[in-house]
Amino acid sequence: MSILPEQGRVAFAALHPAVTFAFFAGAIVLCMCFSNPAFQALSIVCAAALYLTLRGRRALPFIGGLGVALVVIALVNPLFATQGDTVLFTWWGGRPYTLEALALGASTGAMLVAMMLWFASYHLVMTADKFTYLFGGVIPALSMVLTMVLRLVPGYRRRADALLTARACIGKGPAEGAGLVERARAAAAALAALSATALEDAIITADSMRARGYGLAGRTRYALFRWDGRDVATAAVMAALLVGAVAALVAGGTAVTFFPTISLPPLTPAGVLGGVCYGAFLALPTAYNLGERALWLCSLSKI
Amino acid sequence: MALFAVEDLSFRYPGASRDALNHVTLEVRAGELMTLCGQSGCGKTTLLRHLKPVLAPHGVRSGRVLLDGVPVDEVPEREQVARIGFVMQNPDAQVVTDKVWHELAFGLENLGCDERTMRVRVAEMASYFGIQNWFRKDVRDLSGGQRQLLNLASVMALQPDVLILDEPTSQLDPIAASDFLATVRKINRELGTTVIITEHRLEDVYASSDVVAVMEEGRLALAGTPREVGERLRAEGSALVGALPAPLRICYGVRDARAGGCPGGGPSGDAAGAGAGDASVVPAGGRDAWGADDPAGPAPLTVREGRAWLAGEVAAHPPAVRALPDGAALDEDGHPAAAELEGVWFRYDRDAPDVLRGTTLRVPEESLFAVVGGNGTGKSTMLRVLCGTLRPYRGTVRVLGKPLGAWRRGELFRGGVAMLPQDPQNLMVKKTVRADLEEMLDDHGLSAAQREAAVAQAAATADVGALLDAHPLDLSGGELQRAALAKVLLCEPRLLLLDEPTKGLDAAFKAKLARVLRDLAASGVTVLMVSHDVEFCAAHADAVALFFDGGVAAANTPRRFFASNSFYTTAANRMSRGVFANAVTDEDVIALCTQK
Repeated sequence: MSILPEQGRVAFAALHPAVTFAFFAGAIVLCMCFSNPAFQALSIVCAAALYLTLRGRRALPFIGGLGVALVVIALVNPLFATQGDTVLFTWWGGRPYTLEALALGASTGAMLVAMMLWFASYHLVMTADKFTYLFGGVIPALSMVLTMVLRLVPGYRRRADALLTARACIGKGPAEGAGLVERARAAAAALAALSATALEDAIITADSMRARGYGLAGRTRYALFRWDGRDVATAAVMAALLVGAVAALVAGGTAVTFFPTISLPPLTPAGVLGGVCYGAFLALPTAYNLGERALWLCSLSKI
Repeated sequence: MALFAVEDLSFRYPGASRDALNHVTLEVRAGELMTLCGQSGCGKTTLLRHLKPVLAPHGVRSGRVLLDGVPVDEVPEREQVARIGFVMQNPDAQVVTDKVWHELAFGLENLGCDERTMRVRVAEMASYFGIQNWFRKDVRDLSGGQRQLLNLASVMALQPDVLILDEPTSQLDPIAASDFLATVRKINRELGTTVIITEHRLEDVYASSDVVAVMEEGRLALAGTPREVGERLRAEGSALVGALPAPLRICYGVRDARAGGCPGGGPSGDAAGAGAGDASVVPAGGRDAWGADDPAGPAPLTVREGRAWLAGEVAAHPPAVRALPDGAALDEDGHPAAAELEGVWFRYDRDAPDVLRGTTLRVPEESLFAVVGGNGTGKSTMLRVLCGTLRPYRGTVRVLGKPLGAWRRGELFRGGVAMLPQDPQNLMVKKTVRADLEEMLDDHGLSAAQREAAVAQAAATADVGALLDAHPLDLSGGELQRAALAKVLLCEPRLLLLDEPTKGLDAAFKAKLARVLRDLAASGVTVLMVSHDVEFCAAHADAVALFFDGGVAAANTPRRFFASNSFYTTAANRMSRGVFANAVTDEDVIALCTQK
């Protein structure tokens, strides 16, 4: 599932799934709640940094692409939203292009980009087995279905590949055939054949499950992951920082209004403290990864 | 005391016209390794499934199955799950979860094991089966052989008393199959687990079986030790003799030839012939009643025994000639080439390693050319390059006298090249075999009668005339292989590419396939096949090439090729090495032994 180059050396991914899941849940939920530009900038920077530590140089195209998306969303928004008092210029027979709409677009785009970045890291760190491990106890049937779907989808894709390749070698490949209709018909036939084999396989899988006792009462779960001291410590720090950040939110120091004019919240000690907590919370995984790498380099130099 | 006792079991599928199982009575003792054999469709799988009630098919049943004296339906399900392990044919569909560790733990989770026990058992299994290195992998990243081994391990994690395997290696290549069967033997020997296995590749499992049972059309025809059953099959002239291990076949061949060339007429034939009429099953406890005491000593089961037997044989009847002529060397430039690769390099991805590394191969026209070699050496990739579906980044490929690039896409597959893939299932997309065959003629502008005739002819060549109205998914492995061959033949190829055509075929089907291929070669088609089946290539190919590390290491006529190899060669050659020179097939050894 994971495309991490060296999962073992990415320290944050090696933490207990409950800890990593809680982190991403917190980061993503808070990212949706805070529209303060400073907080949003924090979120984007930390998310990009985490993604960079996970994927190295290969993260750059994705981050660059999201940067472009952010600019486009910001610039396009005023074309549709015309509220706001500060008119920058008018276009298309007097439609106003306002600073406030531009700022709202930037804010929306920033939230979107931050979420995308967090989700990208989430997918790398929270592999399917971790997810099913976490939620298998709560919703056993669902987690089993999920596990099987995770296996079936790539399996289906592989079968489709094999089928298309095999048929290409007798001149019935997707590129062959007279017209569009012919090709559509060939594709439909291939799809039908795939479904038939999938059904056959499903019967075998069901047999295999029953033969190994699926459905007996009192199912337990194999635990691949164990809690240790690091997990407890990290969870405690995370919880403390999270409380600080949420307190700032509740104190109301972060709300931004865009219309009719942009009004940022006043700088209060509570808000600053909240921002510090928030930043520390979001930077935690990156710090973890970098710290581990530094430790590794340091211990390597001693050998 | 028998672990399993099948008592007078009859069974009929709903709507079937005859019984799938016909008064079967059989005993399996604890710790035994029993091989169940018979032609495809003889009821082996049906019988095995009755041994595990959750898998038993629906239908009309009489008789009963006892596990330790208790009717197996009355054994609580939890106990059944733990005590009776069942491994099926399809390595892929049997896997339930997406991770190796989860698959190992799956059965234990279902039984409600506590965490400590589960950890120990999973650790044990992973270590015993050598899985620890891919423990955290995704199941889909495993090879077919690894997947089947995982299925075996996850069943063994439940510590069953009896392990039932239904053609577990039919979808594996021979190397993975031998590994798998070696593990099964190890389980039987080291853990004392009772094993009941059906197999079409008897070479590997026959010699180490304690009991061999033979089924015929739903009846249990024979049961006894491997040697007894071999004698009886020989006496009856059964087609299954072709599936026996090579040393046994050679020994029988020599004895039959000495006895005047008629099978079953030898000195031992009389002894066995007494019971041949009633096809009786040897009663329990009396398994050594007949057959084994051949005056000429016991027949050899393994290559080691075969060498000792052959030495004795040669001492008793010294042959005048001990070497067969080398035969002509491979004529490299005599015929024009049907396919030619020169310095071909290919890789699947820019950063991936090279799969073909300067491959150079010349396949002369109208020959049956075989390429052998290990897994992952690039054999199948080479076939796809010849089809034009993969494009090499260096080197030239010529097909039927023209560079591949000069062929127009449509033309190449119409009267040019066609390939039968490793999994013939992938060619079949319609609801009947007939519709699948007709699909090949779609825009050929033929009349209905012409189409009918073309389909009938291809079906006759591949011997699938009787299967035209069946659904492709309902065919057995051998039938499917031949149906796909018929489909490929409708391309009217002049160069036919076959990828592992003998995988999963039993001896009878192999003989049929060999005939079809010979006929094609005789009618001017060039056949290039990639195979692991050394015996098949030695017996039927005109030329054999060894593929290794992305290139051809050696190519020659089968006799010269296999006679010069000492590991990668036929059982007959390994058995006769040092005694006879250049003997490659069973027939060679038999002929040298019995020369006048």
